[in-house]
Amino acid sequence: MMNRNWMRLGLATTALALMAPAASGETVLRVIPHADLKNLDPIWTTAYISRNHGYMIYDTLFSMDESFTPQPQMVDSWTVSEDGMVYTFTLRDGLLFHDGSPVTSEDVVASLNRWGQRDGMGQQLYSNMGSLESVDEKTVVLTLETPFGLVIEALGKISSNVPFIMPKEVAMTDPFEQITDYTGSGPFVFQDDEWVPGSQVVYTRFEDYAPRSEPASAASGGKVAGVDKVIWTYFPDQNTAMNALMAGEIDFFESPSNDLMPILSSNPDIVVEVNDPLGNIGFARFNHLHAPFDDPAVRRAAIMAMKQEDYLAAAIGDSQFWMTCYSVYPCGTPYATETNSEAIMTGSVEAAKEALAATGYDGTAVVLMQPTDVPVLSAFSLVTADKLRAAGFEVEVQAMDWATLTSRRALRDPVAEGGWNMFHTWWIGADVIDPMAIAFSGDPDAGWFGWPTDEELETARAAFSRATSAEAKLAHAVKAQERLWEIGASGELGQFFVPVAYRSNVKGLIKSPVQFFWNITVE
Amino acid sequence: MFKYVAMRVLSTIPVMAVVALFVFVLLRLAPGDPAAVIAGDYATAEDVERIRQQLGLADSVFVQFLRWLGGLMQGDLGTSIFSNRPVTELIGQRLEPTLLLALTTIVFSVAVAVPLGTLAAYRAGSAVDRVVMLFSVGGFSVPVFVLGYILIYTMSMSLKILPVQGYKSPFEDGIGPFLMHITLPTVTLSVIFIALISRMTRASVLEVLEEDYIRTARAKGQSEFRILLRHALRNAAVPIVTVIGIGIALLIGGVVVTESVYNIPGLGRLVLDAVLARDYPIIQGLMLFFSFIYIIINLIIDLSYTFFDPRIRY
Amino acid sequence: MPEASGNAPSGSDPTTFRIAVANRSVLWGGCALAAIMVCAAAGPFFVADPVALNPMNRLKPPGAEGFFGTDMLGRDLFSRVLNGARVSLTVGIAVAALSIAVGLVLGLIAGYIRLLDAVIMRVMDGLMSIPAILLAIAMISLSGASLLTVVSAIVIPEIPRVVRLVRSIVLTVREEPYVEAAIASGTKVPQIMYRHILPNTIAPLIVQATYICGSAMLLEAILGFLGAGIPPEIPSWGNIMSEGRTYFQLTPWIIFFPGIALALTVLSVNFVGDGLRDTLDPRIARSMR
Repeated sequence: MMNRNWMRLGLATTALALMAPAASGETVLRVIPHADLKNLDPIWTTAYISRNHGYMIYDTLFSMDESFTPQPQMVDSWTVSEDGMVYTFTLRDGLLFHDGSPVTSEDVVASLNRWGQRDGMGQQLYSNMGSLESVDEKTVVLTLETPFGLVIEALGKISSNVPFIMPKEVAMTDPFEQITDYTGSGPFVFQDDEWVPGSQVVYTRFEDYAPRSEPASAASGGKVAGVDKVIWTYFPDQNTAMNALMAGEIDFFESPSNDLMPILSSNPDIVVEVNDPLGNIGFARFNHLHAPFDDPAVRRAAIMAMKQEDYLAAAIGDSQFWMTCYSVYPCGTPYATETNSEAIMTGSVEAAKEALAATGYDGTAVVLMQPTDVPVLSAFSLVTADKLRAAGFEVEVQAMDWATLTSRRALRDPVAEGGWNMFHTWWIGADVIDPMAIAFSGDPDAGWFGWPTDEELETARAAFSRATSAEAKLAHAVKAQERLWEIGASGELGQFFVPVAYRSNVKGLIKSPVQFFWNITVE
Repeated sequence: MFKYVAMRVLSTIPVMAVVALFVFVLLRLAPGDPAAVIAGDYATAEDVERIRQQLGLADSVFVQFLRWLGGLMQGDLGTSIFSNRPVTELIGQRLEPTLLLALTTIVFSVAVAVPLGTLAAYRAGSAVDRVVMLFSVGGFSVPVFVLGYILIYTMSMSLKILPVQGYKSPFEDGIGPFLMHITLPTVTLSVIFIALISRMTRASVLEVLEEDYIRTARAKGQSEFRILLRHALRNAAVPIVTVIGIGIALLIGGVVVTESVYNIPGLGRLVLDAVLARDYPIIQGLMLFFSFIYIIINLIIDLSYTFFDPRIRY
Repeated sequence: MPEASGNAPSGSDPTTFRIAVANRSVLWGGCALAAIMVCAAAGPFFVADPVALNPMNRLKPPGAEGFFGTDMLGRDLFSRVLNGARVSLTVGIAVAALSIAVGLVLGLIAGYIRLLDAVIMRVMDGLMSIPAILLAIAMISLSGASLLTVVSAIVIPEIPRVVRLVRSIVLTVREEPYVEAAIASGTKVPQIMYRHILPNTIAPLIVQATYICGSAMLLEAILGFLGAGIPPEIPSWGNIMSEGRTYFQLTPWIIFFPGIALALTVLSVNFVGDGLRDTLDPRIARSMR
């Protein structure tokens, strides 16, 4: 007996010694990111993980603060002409790329040009733009051709694609081709030789980064690297990830499943908190091109069956991490309103059944695509199937993985020829904050999968983009929401929050819809 | 002997060709388009089309196959669609963990299963035999991931004697950390092999024990241990080694699950991620690589027969 | 043991049956399996709807809401496990039957017709060298998840082993004096197949079928874990476990009930197989893996 105990003790001590972080005095933050970083070009792909990587190594001209107002980041000072048509930006002093060369206005122009060909907001900016020129080393002048009220909002947008500034040679890469040089000017440096795609990414502090003097606030303010090294290790298994955090093998777990919360929050060494004030918005998308959802009355009937509480309870669980939200814009943001939201507020299968009976629905089966590898969406799909069936719809659930879904949703073909009727997704709150979001488009050519067609909606959105006063913007946003519910564009399934979990010795997390790793220290 | 080896190596070429063609066609017929995954939520149809062209996915399947084959001839397995890295480099990065995990698993399984199976055969019909056989049947009945979760929960979370996850290289991090991290995955993966090998060992040894030369050896007064080791086990080796060979395919499958549960950055996870993202070059390259390994190992096993059984000659 | 070959055992032989019953592992395994099959066949008529959602009533422990509690969507776990028995057994039996049938035909052809032997065996070698799980995942993403796809994805990698087994039996039996005599006396090929060769394959194939059945049920569970299994709308043991795996430490019963059901079923199938192998013909032991 004695013997075995000694052996166990011995093993335990070695284990502890082995698990301790590198003892060289170097501070390391070991992170489990929300996804595997498959790709290093945040302009080429919209993947959120590539965007987060972008924030590590690049910097932006403007960046959003906690109240969703764009603040200058690389820009020192800027002016707008009287008529709002000419913007002049001057870069801060001391901006350097990781190779030591200074950031110049030419880098800015090239980077914005590349972004403007890929990003939706960027495309709008460029379609209203006359010219973008570098005047001297540090000055860029943007001249509009037609009035556009969202120049600073576009340059300071917080989510994909973010207009990151890259060196000119890199930014000259064809926007449909991936970059191969990962030199940025952000607070961290990407370690190319330590990258193991599918598993590990290593960043080190950029010693020569000159942070702003303001305190950090969301993406804005001073980006001070608080640790020498940040290591992202991707975990395909949630259980193992949770255990690794609790065992101290990991410091920070970006998106633990909500159902792990009871275990994580009962551990005294672990802090669980919601960092993203906007959360995510559940979204049930109809295909407006094909029966039965080519009829707005049928879509509205389906929406009436969608009781948000049931979706959120099934997919998210604990009610402290979700709330109902009947606005198309995230609740708690400037344009949130319940105007015309009666259909989604109904939440009754019986009412939906009645409404459906009043339409010309002829029993056409609804083909619902269920992505089985995304648990939240998989649950949303099953709830929708359950509710629509109860309301009198014929529903055919087709299980597939997300990769198949993303390519199939792009097909406009009839359902019999590989098309579809419905799928679910979620938007991060920051992505649907105003009517310019592609989720709200009413133009089937430039719009999003599902292809709603509505002139009135498009008029409201265009008016919003040209509006310059806050009141006018609000009025147009409300008008857009009215139309969105009127035509039953999509079902909104409520707002949910994915908390982060980290060990209690990690300090200085930034409240933001995007996870940033500056400002964080490990004690 | 040399002629036989040369023949066998040559005969792998048509087999590999079958695999290559089969995998390629299978993948290209599959729905799911990497271009759409890359383009993301905001992309328009034109964007997706442009990306597809850039990736060479807009060409006909036949042209794509020829291009891939052309690269293959020069030892080039292509470039990952997502990470833009050569597939050979990706395989190289991931080879060590998988190879060492497979190695430790085989060593551990054989070390446990052969004595167990021999013991069960020697005491056939006894309680020891029953327990060994019950365990070996049980080994086939538990899904690998459930076993992995249970081991992590008991050994790492409750007893805190082994780390939860990860991989440490014996060459860079030292042999101690390597063993600490590889123990649980090895045990998890070994259970099914121990079941397989101990069952086969028992059957083969049982058969050999009834042969005349064993009786002769006993009559000569040799010790039982010596009889078991020198005569019984050696003569029972051929089927045992064969079952290890068959097990390699099983092992590669098991590695996919074990690597996910223990977060080991190996080839199994690489291929699984690639399938989910439709990263064609990685899937093709790895499938080909796996079947190559399988064929080579089975060739080695066939050749090892001459060592165990002098009657076999090629 | 050449003298054993003349009176090849067949499944319908009454003495074989008696020995099989006398063999305790066949008896126990068979009884357990029969009980599971009865549950699978009759059970679903007596329990709640396995797919009815009740999100407000999720993750309830056993006893409170139904025997086994509820899962993360508030579905009745007892009902799901019972219904899952149907699906898992269907997968196991369908895979076993299909792979034996196809493998038998291909094996007979390969063993008897020299011309096709090389071609068939090279293709089989190729199929065998692709890891079964990877092939299954790839195939399922090809045709979309459905019961049929999952079954065929598991069948294909099993076929080569059956073909090899059948072929080796054919090659051995062909050399037997009585078969050579039949060939020499001008008996037609189909008749030789039916009279002499087929009977010799039955016993080893029955044993092989039980192993395939067991491993198919396990593989289905593993595919579910990897996200490439049967569509979640259909409750199978693999599905229930893979959906419940995040809850392993919070509500372990979601994974344990189907896990125990699966282990018991596979265990009894394997007991039957082992018992049959020992009973039917000791010679088989050598040709089996």
